[in-house]
Amino acid sequence: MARFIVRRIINVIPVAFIVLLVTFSLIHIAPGNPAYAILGEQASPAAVKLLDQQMGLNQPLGLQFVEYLRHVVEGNLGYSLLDHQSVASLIVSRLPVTFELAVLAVILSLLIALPAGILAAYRPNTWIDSVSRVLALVGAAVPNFWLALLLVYIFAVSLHWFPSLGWIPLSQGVASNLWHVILPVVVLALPLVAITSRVLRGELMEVMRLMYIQVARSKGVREWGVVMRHGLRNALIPVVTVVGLQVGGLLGGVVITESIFSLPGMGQLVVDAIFNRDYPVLQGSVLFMALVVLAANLLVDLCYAWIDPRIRYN
Amino acid sequence: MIGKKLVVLLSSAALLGALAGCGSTAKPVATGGTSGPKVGGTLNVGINSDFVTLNPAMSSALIDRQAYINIFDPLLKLSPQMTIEPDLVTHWTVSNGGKRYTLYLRHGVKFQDGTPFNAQAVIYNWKWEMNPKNASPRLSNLSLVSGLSAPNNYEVVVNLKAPFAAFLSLLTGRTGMISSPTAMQKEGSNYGLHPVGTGPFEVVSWVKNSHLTLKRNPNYWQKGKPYLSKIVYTPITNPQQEYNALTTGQEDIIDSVPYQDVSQLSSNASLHYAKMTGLGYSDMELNTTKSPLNNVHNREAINYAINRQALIKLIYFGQTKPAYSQFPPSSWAYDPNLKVPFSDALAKEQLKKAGNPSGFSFTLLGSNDPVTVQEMQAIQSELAKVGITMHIEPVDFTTLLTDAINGNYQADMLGWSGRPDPDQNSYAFDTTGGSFNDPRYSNPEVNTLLLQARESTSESTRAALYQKAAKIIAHQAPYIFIAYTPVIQAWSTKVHGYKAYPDDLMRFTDVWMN
Repeated sequence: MARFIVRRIINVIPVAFIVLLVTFSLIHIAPGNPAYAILGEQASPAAVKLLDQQMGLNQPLGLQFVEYLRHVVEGNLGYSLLDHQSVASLIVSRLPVTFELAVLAVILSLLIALPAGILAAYRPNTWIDSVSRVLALVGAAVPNFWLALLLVYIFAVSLHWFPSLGWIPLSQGVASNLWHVILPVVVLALPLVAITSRVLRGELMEVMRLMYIQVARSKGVREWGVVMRHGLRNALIPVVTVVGLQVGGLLGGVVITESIFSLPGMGQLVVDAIFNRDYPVLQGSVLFMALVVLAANLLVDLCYAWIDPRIRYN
Repeated sequence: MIGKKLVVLLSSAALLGALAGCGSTAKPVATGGTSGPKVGGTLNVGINSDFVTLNPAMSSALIDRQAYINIFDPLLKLSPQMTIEPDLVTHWTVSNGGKRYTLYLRHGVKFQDGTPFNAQAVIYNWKWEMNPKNASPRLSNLSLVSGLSAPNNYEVVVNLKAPFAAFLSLLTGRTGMISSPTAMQKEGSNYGLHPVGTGPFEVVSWVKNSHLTLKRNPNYWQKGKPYLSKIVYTPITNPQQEYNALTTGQEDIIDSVPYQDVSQLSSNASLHYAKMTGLGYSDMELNTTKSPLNNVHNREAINYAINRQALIKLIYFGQTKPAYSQFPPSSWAYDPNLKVPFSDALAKEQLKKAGNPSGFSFTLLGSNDPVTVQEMQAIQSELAKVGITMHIEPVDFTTLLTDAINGNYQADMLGWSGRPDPDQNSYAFDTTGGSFNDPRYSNPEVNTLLLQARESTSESTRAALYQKAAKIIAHQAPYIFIAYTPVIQAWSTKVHGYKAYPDDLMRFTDVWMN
C-alpha cells in the first residue's frame, strides 16, 4: 500500500508539470497584457513597456517559464502582479470557502443520492423510481447558473428564507455560515445527485442479479438486509469512482456559483486572475486545483480497498 | 513673472460651470418622522464589481473611486450639479496666463494615521505619481506639470507647461486624492491594501471578492461628521443579484439597477431611487487607419444606419438618451441641436460615395458581457439592412483594452465613463496622437479647436469651441456615439441624507440610518 501511494505521488510530478505548461501557454497565448489591466485606459506604450520590464514580462517566454518552474520547485508560487500578495496566501485565504462548498455539496448529494438510488433499485419502475429519474434528469439538464438564479428568486426574493448572496466565515457563527451557504450548496449538489443516484441504481440492480445475492436470499436474509448488506457495498465502487471524478467538475461549478452568490472562494480568484492576466495567481490556483483533483483520485483508489477487501495494491 | 491673475475664489462656476438639465428623477424622500441625523449604524453597500486597488495613485478601475470618495477627501469637490467647490483646497488663484495654479490648503486637517495633511504631502504624492518608475496611471494627468513648490505648509504652487483649463477638475478626482506619505512609505507595494487618507471613513479590512469594511474617522475635520459607524461594501457582479440584495434588505444601497427593473422602483414603497444622465457614453470606435473604415464615407454610412432610439429601447429599456457627441446633457458643452439622423437612404448615399454601393464588411470587437453582445447583435442587424456586414467578436475586457490601445482592431465598443470637464471627454480622444485616441483620428482643425478650448478660461468660449469640434467629429465619425450612460441608484428608505451625483459616486459623509 505504501509503495502504491509513493508511486502515485511520484506520478503527480509529470502531471503537475503538464498542468503548469498548459496553463502558462494558454494564458500567454491569450491576447491582452497585465500591464493594460493595471494601467487601464491610461496605458501609454512607454508605461506599458516599463511595467512589462518591472514584472519581467519582457523576457523570452521560455525563460519566464523556466524561472517560474524553478520558483515552484522551491515552494514559491510567486506574487500577484496586481497587488503583490503572495499567491500561496491568496489560495489559503480563499480555500475555506471553496472547500466548505465542495465538501457540503458532496455530503448533501450523497444524503440524497444514496437513498434515492437504493430505493429506485429496490423498487424499480415504481413511482419512487420515476421521481428519482425525474430528479436526475433535472439535475443533469439544468445549468447551474440558471438554477442559482431560480433558487434565489424563490427562496431569497420571494420567501425571504435565505440570503441571496454573501459569505459569513465559520468563525463568526456556524448557523449563520450554513444559512448563507445553503443555496449555493444545493446548486452544486444537484448535478452530483443526478449522476450518483443513477449510477447507484444501475449498479445495484446489476449486483442484485448476481448469484451470491440469491444465496443470501435463500439463507433467509430479509430483502432490505440483502440490499443494504450484500448489494450496496458491492455496488459502491462505481459510485465512489463517479464521486471522485466529479471533484473536477465541482471545482468548475464552483467558479460560476461563487460568482453568482458573491462568495470569496477559489473560483472568484481564478476568474479575476484570468480577466486581469494575473499570471502567477492563475498558474498557482490551477496547479493547486489540479493537485486537489489528483488527491481526490488517489483517495478514491484507496477507498476501493476499504470497500472491497479483495482489492490489494502491490 | 507674475502674470495676470485670472480667477480667484470659491466660485468655481467660471471654470466648470453649472449644469443645465441634469435630468435627474427621484422619488421624494419622506422627511416626516425623522428628527435630524442619528449617529451610528452600518450601511451595507452593493457595488457592481470588486475594487482592484485602494491606492488612488495606482488605480485605473472606475469602481475603485466608490471607495476613495469616502476614504479620501479630494482637494476639490464636485457639487451635485458638477460644479467645482472647495474641499481640502479652500481657495486658489490662477496666474501666469493660466499656467500657474496656487492652491491654499485647509488648516488643521490630519490623515487617518494622525500625520498632518499639508503642502509637502500633496507634493510628495504628485512627485510619486510623476515618477515613471512607479507606473502610476495618474502620470498622464500630471504630464503638463513643469514644477511644484511649497512656499509654506499650506500653499502649493503648480507650474504648468501650458495653460490647462481642466486642471482644477482633475483635483476633484483621483489626482486630487492625497495619501499619507508616512503610510505610503511604511506600506510600500502593500499600500493598495492599507490606504490612509483624510476622508470621513477609514479602512478596517478588505477581503477581496467579499467585502470592504470602513469605519468612522473619529478625527474627521468636519466636526460631528460622518454619522455612520461603519460602511460595508459587497461586490455583486451579477446585476440581478445586486438588485435582489437590495430588495431582500441585505444591502441598503446599490450603485446600479438593471435597466429592466427601473420601472418597478417607483412602486416599491421601501425604496428610493435616483435616475439621471451620467458623464459618460457608450460608443463604437472606428479605426481610421484600417480599411475599410479609413474611408470617411464608410464611417458615415455606419453613423446614419444606426437607429439609436431603437437600441435605447432594446438595451436600456428607454432609460437614457441617444448620444451624438462626447458631451452629455449634464455638461455645459452639450449641444442639444447636434443630431445624426437615422436614415438608410443617407447611409446608402455614403456607401455610393465610398465606392462600394453594395456595402462592405468589418469586425467589431466588444466586451463579452451579455448586454454588450446583445447591443452588438442589434447593431449588426441594423447595418445589414444597408448591406454592411459586421462580424462580432466578443472578448474579455483586458483583451479589448489591449487591442484598442494598440490599434489592433477595425472597430470596437469601449465607451467612456466620462469626467466633469469637457476637456477630459475630448482632448485625449480626438487630438492627433492623444492617449485615448484609439481610432487614430487626426484632424488639424479639431486639434486647434480643442487646444484653444483647453487654454481658454472663458466657459462660453470653451463651450462654443467644443460644440464646433463635436460637429466635425459627428460628421467624420471616428466614433459612433450610441447612448449617454444613465446613473441609476436605489436605496432603502432606512437611509437618510443620501444624494446621487451624475458621476455615479456614492458619498456617505452626510448619510445616516434610521
